[in-house]
This record gives sequence, C-alpha cells and structure tokens, in this order.
Amino acid sequence: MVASALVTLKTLTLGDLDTGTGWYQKEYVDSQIEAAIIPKSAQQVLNGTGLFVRFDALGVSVDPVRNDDMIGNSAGDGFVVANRQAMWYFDTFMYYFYDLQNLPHDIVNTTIDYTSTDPRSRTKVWLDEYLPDEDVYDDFNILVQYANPDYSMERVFLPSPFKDIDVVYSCGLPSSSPIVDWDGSIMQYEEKVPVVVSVVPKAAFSGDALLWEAVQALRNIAEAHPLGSYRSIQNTKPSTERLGSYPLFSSTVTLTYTRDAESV
Amino acid sequence: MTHTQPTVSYGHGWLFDGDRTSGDVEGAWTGTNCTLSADEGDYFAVTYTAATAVATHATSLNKSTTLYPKLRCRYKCSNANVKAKIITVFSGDETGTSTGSGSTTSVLSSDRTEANDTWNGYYLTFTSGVNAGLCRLISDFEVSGGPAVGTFTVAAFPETYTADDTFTLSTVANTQTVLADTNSTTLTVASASLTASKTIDYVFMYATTAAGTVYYDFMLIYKGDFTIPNCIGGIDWMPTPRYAQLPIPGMIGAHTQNLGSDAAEWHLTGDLTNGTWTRSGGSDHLLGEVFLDIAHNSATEPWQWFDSKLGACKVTLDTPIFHRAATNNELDWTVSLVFREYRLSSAGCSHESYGSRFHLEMI
Repeated sequence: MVASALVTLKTLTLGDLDTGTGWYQKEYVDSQIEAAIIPKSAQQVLNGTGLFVRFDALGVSVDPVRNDDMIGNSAGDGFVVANRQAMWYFDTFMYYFYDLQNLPHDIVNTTIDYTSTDPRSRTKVWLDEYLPDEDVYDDFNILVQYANPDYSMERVFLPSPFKDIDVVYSCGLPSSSPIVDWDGSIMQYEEKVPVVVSVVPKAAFSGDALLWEAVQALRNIAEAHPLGSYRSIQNTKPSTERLGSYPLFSSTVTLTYTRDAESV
Repeated sequence: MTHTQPTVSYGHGWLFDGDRTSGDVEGAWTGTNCTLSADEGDYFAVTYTAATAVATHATSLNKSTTLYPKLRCRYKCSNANVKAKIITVFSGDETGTSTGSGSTTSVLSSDRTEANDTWNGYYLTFTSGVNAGLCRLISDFEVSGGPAVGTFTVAAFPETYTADDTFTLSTVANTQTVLADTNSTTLTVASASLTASKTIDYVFMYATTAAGTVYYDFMLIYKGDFTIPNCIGGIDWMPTPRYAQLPIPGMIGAHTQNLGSDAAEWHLTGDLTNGTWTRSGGSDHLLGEVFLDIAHNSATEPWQWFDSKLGACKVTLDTPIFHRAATNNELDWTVSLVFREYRLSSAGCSHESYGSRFHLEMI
C-alpha cells in the first residue's frame, strides 16, 4: 500500500433559497487536493509544533478549503471542515490547517424537508409577509430562516460569491405550555418563539445601528399585526457576541402566541 | 380526549312551549283522533287511543329555514309502546280543501277545478285531518260534474280523508320528518337541521303506533346553537336549595325551613382571545356578540336551550360581563356569563325528576 496525500475535496456552495425554511440548498463540487489528514490518535508522531488535533482529525493543506467543505480520504472516511486558519511565516503564506469532524451520516445529499405544521413555519410566514414593508430594508438584504441551518452563517453574511445578507431573522423552536380548559382537555398551547436577529456590520452602517433598526422593525410588525392569535413580544434580550475576528450583533426577541391543539 | 364545550341556542323563530292549545302565532291547535291538553301547564299532551293521533295548527308559521335552519324539541312517552313523531310542512305552490268522501287514493276538491292534468306530477300534502303532514305524488288530475269537482289520483294515504281537510300542492315533496316514530319514556331532546331554502308553514306532532300519550315539552325553530369555545375561567353550577332560617325568640339557634329548590345557575367565564367567539356567517362585529343578541331579544325569547355538558335545560341569560384589561402586560379579555334555569311547570311536576330537570340523561 502506497500512502498518498491526494484527497477528495467537496467544496460547498449555497444554491437556491428554499422559501419554506429560508435555508439555502447545499451543493458540492468535487476536486482533488493534496492534504495531510492527521487522526487524533496519531498526533504524538506526526504533528509539528503548535498543531493540535482537537476534534476527530486535523487537516493541513496548501490548497484552500473553507469551513463546511467536506474532505474524504482514500479510506472512505468523510470529514467536515471547521475552524480553518492560515499559517503564515512572517509575510509568507505557508498552509491552511483546520479541524476535521467525522460525519455522523452522509449529509451530502440531504434534502430540505419541512411541513407547514413546523412550529417555526407560522412565525416565518408572518415575518415574510410583513418585513418587506419596512422602509429600513430598502438598502439591505434580509433573510428570514428557520434557526440552525446545517452550514455556517458566515456563508450567508459574507459578500459575493457568498450570499451577502445583512440581516437574518432566525426563527427558533418554541417552548410551549398547554392551556387546559374546564373539562381537563388541552385546547391550546401557549408558545414562546425566540427570533434571533443577527447583523454583521457592513460599510457605512454600524452593527449596533442596523441591529436596532432590525429589532425595531420586528416591534413594528408585532404592534401592527398581532394576528388572530394575538402574537405579542414577551421580551427582547441583546445577545451580541464576538466571533473570532468580527462581532455578530444580535438580539433575541421572544414572541408569544397560542396554537390550537390538533385534537380540538 | 374530546374537548367538551357548552352550547346555547339563539334567535327564536317560533317557540311553542307546550303550554297552550291556542292563542299564539300558530293559531288554534286541533287534535285528530285525540283531545289535546297542556299538561302541568308545560307539556303538550297528544294521546293515541285507537288510531294515530295528530296535533295540527291552524295558522301558517311562515318561517324561512334560511333564517331559522334548526328545530329542537323535547318529549317523553307515557309508556314503552306509544311513539312520538314530528313532521314539518313547507309552503306549497297552491292550497286546497277536500270535498266529500273520496278514498285513500282519490282526493276530491271543489276549489281545484283547473284543466285536466294540470296537477299531474305535483305533490299533495294534507295540512289537517287524519293524514296531516303526509305527502303523496299526484299521478292524475281530472275535473268532472257540475258543479265541477277536481279529483286527484294519488299514491295511497294511510287513512281516508274527511271533508274540509286542507292540503297544499307543490312541485316537490314539501315535508320533512324531523323525528321519526320514536319511543322514550324519559324526557328526550331531539334536534334537526331543516331543509334549506324552504318556508315552514306547519309543525305537526303525533302519537303513533300504540295506545299512550306523548308529552311534548317544547318545539323551537331557531337560528342556531352557539358553541362556547372555552370556559378557562371555570364553570360553577349551582342548583341552589332555598332554606329560610327562622330565629326562635328566647332560644338558641333557628328553625330551618326548606322552601324547595331555587332556579339553578351556571356561572361561566371564557377567554375571548382563545377560540372562535363569533358566529359563522361573518356578521358579528364583536367577540361574544351572540350574548348581546340573546340579551337584547330576551323580551320576545323567554329562554334559550343551554347544554353545559354537566346538565342541560332552559335558561335565561343574566347580564353578560365583557372584561378587557392588560394584566401583567398581557391582554386579559374575558366574558362572564350567568345562565339561570327557566321553568314553566310547577315545582312538583310529575314529568320531571331531578335527573330529567337537568337532563342528566344527556351526559
């Protein structure tokens, strides 16, 4: 058996937007690159100084890869790229190194599947319906999505060839409590849906200012369009955090409404 | 678990409360093969002795089933053999009165003397007499004699009519059996949806099959039943007894005198932000508007039929209280209702036990 550094790189691009979920279709393009894949158990022998295998394996290559790309080795193992960083020697680029995580299952051909009964759906439909009316969004790209897509949000925020989105409203799964009628039957559920408003600052507009406008827009909708089940804002909680080299401005707005029990 | 929701009727078109044999919009009641009475002042008694007994009324009700699409009644039978039956008769195109003595298949009339075959294919429905409420297809119509007499040849009626029985002629069958021959020795509520786009002229009540009496408590033609979406604030049911406490001079304590049972009350509180509090049709402006309707029309609608699912009976509606406030920064929008039992018969009514009083058989 002859060792080879050739591995299959599946380069991820985000394709068409699925209007139901607000998630982009994942598309992969195969190519061959040279990369060293160092399993966690081999770090004592193969790693150079300063490189640590934190997850399932460590990848090192000169060829560029990005987070969420996939790498397969000749043994048939598949990994997802995470935490990619570049190694420089003074002003000279040397190589990329990145964490590799074993795939729990084949997610390459995952199709987006959802139903309108998904608790996130009614909140997304509500936002889709009314957000475009807000003047603040004339100059910005807005995305309403289900929370936690299985790709990094940097691909959504970064400029072309990525999606260049300015403001993302992520509808989370609700926490809910049953509403019991006098006869003991559950007639409705009170649901509290977190909507995380996320903003990455772009030129000529600070993140704080844009975030505030985005949250205010949500407030305006809740005030003007409570809808039949009296959707209302329960609270708003800032949740801005620094992600590596840039801050992600965000705020969590919790909406409350009631949903009929299916048996009613 | 099925969601149990109380209902209450609204919008009376015609109420016959079993308390009269004449004197209201339906005119005088006539019993064929029986004598009619208002038993206990609340139960219309139709008695089968030797043949099917039927109670017919003289005046057309003229109620649109578009506006009043529902009928509800309550009845009981005096034994396990006699059966109750109710038939509604809708407006026909023409009316007539029978003449002489024909047969079960031949109906004569001196006031229908149109050209031969004019009424072929029509339906003849008797609105009085032994065949009241029954409808038959006319296979032939011939006029003969002088003075002229029209003869309708029809599929056989069960009985031979007598002179001066009234009837209608219509292009379609214009009766509806809202209660088929049924026996129940306990008070039973029956409901029916009336044939759409008709005009009700008559409602006939029968005692059929065997000897005995059918007691009809009420007959109500009305707009609908409103389903109260929720009672999250609770239901309090209070079948209150009446005790008088009589102090005894010079002694400790008091005599307790039981004055009988007071009208029961149901106290309900519902959350107007949950469920559908408007009636179908889209004409309601407010949530819970049906209760304004009931309250406003209480002068002409003495009671509504209320089914709490813990018990059911005739009720009146006390002041509905619409409450709206912001409590803990959340909308608190409720309606509180008090339904009070309505009674017409005496306290010792022989037709009612405590179970039938509150219709516990329905639970």
